[in-house]
Amino acid sequence: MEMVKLTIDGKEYEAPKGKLLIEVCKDHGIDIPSFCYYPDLTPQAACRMCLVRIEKMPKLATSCTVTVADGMVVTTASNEILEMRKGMLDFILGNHPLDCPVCDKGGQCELQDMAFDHGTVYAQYAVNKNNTGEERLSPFIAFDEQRCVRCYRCIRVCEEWMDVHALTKIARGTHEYIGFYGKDLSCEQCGNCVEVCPVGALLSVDSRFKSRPWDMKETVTTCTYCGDGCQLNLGVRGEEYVRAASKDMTGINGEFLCIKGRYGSAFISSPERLKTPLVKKNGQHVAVSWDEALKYTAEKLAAVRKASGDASLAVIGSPRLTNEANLTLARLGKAFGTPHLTHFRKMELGDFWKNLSAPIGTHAEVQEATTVLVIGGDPTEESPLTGYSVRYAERKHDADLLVVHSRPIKIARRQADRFLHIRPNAESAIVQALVDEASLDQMAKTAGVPAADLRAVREAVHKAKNLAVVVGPQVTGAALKALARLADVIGKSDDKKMCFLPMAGYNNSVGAFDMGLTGNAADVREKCGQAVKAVYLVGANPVEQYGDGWKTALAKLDFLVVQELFLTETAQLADVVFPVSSYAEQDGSFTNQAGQVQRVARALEGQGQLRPDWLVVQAIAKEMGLNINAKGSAAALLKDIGTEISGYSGVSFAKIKESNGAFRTSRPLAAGTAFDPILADLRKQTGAIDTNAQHDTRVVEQGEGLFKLGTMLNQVPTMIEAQPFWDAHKGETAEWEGEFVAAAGD
Amino acid sequence: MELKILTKRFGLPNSTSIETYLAHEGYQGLQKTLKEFTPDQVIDEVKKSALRGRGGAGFPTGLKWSFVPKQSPKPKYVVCNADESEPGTCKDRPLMEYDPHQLVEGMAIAGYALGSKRGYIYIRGEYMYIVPILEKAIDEARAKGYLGKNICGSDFEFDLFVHPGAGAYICGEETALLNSLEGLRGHPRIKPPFPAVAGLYGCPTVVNNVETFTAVPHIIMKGGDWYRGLGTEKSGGSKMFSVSGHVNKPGNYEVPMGYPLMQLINEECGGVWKGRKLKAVIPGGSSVYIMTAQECENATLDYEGMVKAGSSVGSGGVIVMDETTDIFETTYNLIHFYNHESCGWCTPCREGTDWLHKLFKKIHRGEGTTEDLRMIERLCPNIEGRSHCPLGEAAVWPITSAMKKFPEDFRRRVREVEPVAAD
Ligand SMILES: Cc1cc2nc3c(=O)[nH]c(=O)nc-3n(C[C@H](O)[C@H](O)[C@H](O)COP(=O)(O)O)c2cc1C
Ligand code: SF4
Ligand code: SF4
Ligand code: SF4
Ligand code: SF4
Repeated sequence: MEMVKLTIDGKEYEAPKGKLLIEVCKDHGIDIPSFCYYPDLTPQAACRMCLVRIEKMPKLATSCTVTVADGMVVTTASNEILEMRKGMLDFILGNHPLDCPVCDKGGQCELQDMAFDHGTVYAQYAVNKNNTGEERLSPFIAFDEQRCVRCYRCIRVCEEWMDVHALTKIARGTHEYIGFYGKDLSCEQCGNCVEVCPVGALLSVDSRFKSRPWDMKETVTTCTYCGDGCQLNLGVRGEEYVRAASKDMTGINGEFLCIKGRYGSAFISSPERLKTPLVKKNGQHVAVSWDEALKYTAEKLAAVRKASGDASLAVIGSPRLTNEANLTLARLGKAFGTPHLTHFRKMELGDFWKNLSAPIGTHAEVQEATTVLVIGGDPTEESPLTGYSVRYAERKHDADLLVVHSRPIKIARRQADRFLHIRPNAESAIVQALVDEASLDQMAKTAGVPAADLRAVREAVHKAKNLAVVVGPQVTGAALKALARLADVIGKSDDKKMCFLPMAGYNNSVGAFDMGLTGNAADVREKCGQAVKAVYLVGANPVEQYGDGWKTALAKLDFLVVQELFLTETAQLADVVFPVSSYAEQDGSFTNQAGQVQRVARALEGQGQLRPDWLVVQAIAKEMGLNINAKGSAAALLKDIGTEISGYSGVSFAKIKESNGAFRTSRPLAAGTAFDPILADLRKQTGAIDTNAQHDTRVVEQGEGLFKLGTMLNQVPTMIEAQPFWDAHKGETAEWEGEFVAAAGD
Repeated sequence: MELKILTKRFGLPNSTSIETYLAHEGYQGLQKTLKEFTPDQVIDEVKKSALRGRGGAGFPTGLKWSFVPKQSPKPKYVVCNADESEPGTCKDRPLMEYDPHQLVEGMAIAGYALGSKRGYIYIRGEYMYIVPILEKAIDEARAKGYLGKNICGSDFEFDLFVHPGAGAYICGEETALLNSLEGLRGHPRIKPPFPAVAGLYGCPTVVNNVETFTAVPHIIMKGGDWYRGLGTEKSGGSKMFSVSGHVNKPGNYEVPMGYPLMQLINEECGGVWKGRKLKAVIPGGSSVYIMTAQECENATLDYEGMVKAGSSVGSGGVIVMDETTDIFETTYNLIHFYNHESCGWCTPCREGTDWLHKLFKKIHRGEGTTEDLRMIERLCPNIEGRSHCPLGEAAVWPITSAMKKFPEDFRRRVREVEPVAAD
């Protein structure tokens, strides 16, 4: 990198040529106030706070647009500049409502800080302000126009980070405000615009007027929804949950969050939360003490085991639970001696790991990739940080983006360089074409895509210098195995980089697998009431999620134990229900789909007699007289994981912290085992594709995945209130007609 | 002594038709260009002419054209700024209304010089009635082979399109104009890059005023030296001035650059009306310093002369005010305009013009104090030189100069109060 020498306030500095002056100043601790400048957003030169004096320039210059050059002489700290800043703040404050006492942002407001640092205000406010009211733009976002400093961060975040383009400027001059076209703000409701707003102009409806920022205790933890594992700051006031915000830009997600991460945590304080253990007596759930419930459960399980053998017990964990909980469940299952040790999942990660030919990539690595293949999943709706990362690669360095999906997903419509719109369930045909060139033409026919397009995709993948393969749950069976072997098929070389990122589905999909809950859940369902007589089920609601088959199956059991947050459809069938801590009420860890172990940290106590899942499991084992190597804390359990689980070597809370919050697990690459059997299976799989199936041309609408409610979101009041809003917007995404917007730069 | 160069066909019967135009030397400049000039020679000739931009900034036109990177593989665009919204300015209007072919020819020559195949005329929405006049001229020129492919039998290709604006002063600023032309909001862009390098759709683009383009065929026909000789050494040629206000014969007048301002007012315009005395002149559209009668005495209408006299040529909209005029009210009117037209992009202009407007309004109502005047004086320097585009500064210039040059008109309107200490 070429360096240049420049002088700032009389001191010499070296900086990379072409870097923005404001960034160079910030790097060296020279304070340049700014509103409209924001990292990773296009420059605006609008707020004029960052003006500096540069020798040989006739006027003051905006340091957010000037790039440093050799010999540049800059003044940032003169009287002229300080007076300018005061004056500029005067302009902003002149119309600002100064309702700081009731503003959600008060105390965390950049305008307050700036006025404190720079303003001795001349303004005597001798003229009236242009008063405007507050407006609710959507069920999630409100806007207080008068507080807005017109920095346009919100608009750019929505355009550049989100590719949603929901916000825009309306009207002109003094009357200009941030708004939208249409009847309300129809968008992904991610709240990232709220996050970056320097003042209290954009507001989150759910937390408005609930707390002053300094009255909240904030705890950094990991999101409990999708497999991306965004870092959150949970704000709690007293014992009440207030809001989730993104961390201070140091987490894997920077400042990004999606609707679920930002607005999906109010279930913690839902009055519907289970508060005491329940035991079914005469067909009715009755609240009982922990002692009674534990003893009863232990006795019942022991009795079943004695009568029907070890294999009559099944343990079902969940990709929602912490690693520590899943570890204790795996230990319990092993202590039972049962082969039925499993969890519900969207992807057979075991098949994937076993055939892995390239490492699992982090989101940062996907962002750097020059070629990205997205196959069998919709990052925008299912794995939003992954979606953001793919868009980042496209936005920052015009990555070659190849998308394979059976429906026109958003990223295919708007950003893809090439989109293979395959017929339903034909992902395996594309995989086969990638690993077996001879079959390409036939596979194109099978998948229902033009052979030339498929060939182009194959070529782009094979020639890529830095390839990221984002794999979704629609890639299954032999296709998943074969895709995992892709790097071997392409052939490795020093100038080629490649990584995989599975869109595994849940916050701890990877961890649940790694902890050893690797059995087959459908198998358990088949055996319920026959070989399997009792099920220990934690953190899952198969009756609601996987249909009536499970309801019938579970009804056949002699005994069902459920650990849950709510009395779900599944919990209602249980003989015993234990009320457990949510992710916000306990310590522990999740492993995200990039294979990073991140902290789950207790943000509040929780109401009622809640216990973390792992503690309940250990108590049961103890009552049953089983030794499952019980530990007194999540920290101790994580240490055990660090010695027992392959790839997690040395993990601990301290190590996570040292690794900047994300401890990277390692996974062995498949050592050149035979590929032919996989290929043979793959051919069978593609042979079974229904080539008469019509293409599914229904566009994936905004919110199809993002706005879908599950056990937790069902208990979030704003989400419930938003239902009519979402219904009203259904069908707005335009019909797909086979055209898609070519990426900029083409 | 009025000149008849740009205006020479005004008043001819059917002056907008191509037949009239052709009968009066029309398209001979273009033919000569294609026969005798290389593109670089056109630029050199324009440089020689000392033609400076007539849109307000007075930037040397030949120099601007020479900034367009010839070797760029991107398409190049020629854009005519016909947004004419500067208060007091109405000279582009007759140039388009009475002699549209002159503009078409000027733009075609520019297209040849710059290696461009496409030009746009961005015309203010209020001139909607001129759009068909221009479009008819373009159609005629196309039919006769002065636009389109193989112009005059050469391999030069150039075509023109008219795009009406929607009524924003800021869309006259060249980069806001380009945004608007692209269908975006009319906000000025960050410069650099300048349009010559990255303009319309990110491609090299030259933006010139209507009057600037119309001078080009004459420069080609009679030579850059001839054109320069009409005016002064650094301000070549003739220029249109739109004289309005308190004169006996307001109107558009074409005079040589360097013409005395008082001669224009007294001879061409028949002097200040009703036998009154001159009080002030805003000579270059409203975005310049106001002049006192005394400053006008020896002022000459060329770029250097006007700066020496304490103002500038600007767009050539000369607003004449007699002794009965209240300069406070004039200024109030102007700040109202700038506040209304501020695009809102940057803090000092958006908030500053609003605040200034409110202070003026308060004084106008009779509620003002000397403290309000001091506040105005404090606000202005923080807009000037600090706004994103020149509109913000342009809003300040008439105010600061008026307060300095006509302090009595302001002091008369306010109540004396003790200064409040700042800080
Ligand atoms: C606020 C503002 C309004 C402007 N309006 C006009 C206009 O209406 N017509 C015009 O020709 N130039 C206008 N300009 C000047 C243009 O930005 C630009 O300098 C000009 O079109 C260049 O052409 P020229 O070199 O031929 O003068 C305006 C500039 C500003 C800052
Ligand atoms: S919530 Fe997200 S999608 Fe909606 S306007 Fe804000 S940034 Fe855009
Ligand atoms: S709403 Fe906030 S982020 Fe958007 S322009 Fe206003 S102050 Fe900036
Ligand atoms: S992208 Fe996934 S991890 Fe991130 S906030 Fe959304 S649901 Fe949570
Ligand atoms: S100076 Fe005024 S018109 Fe120009 S960018 Fe700023 S707000 Fe817009």
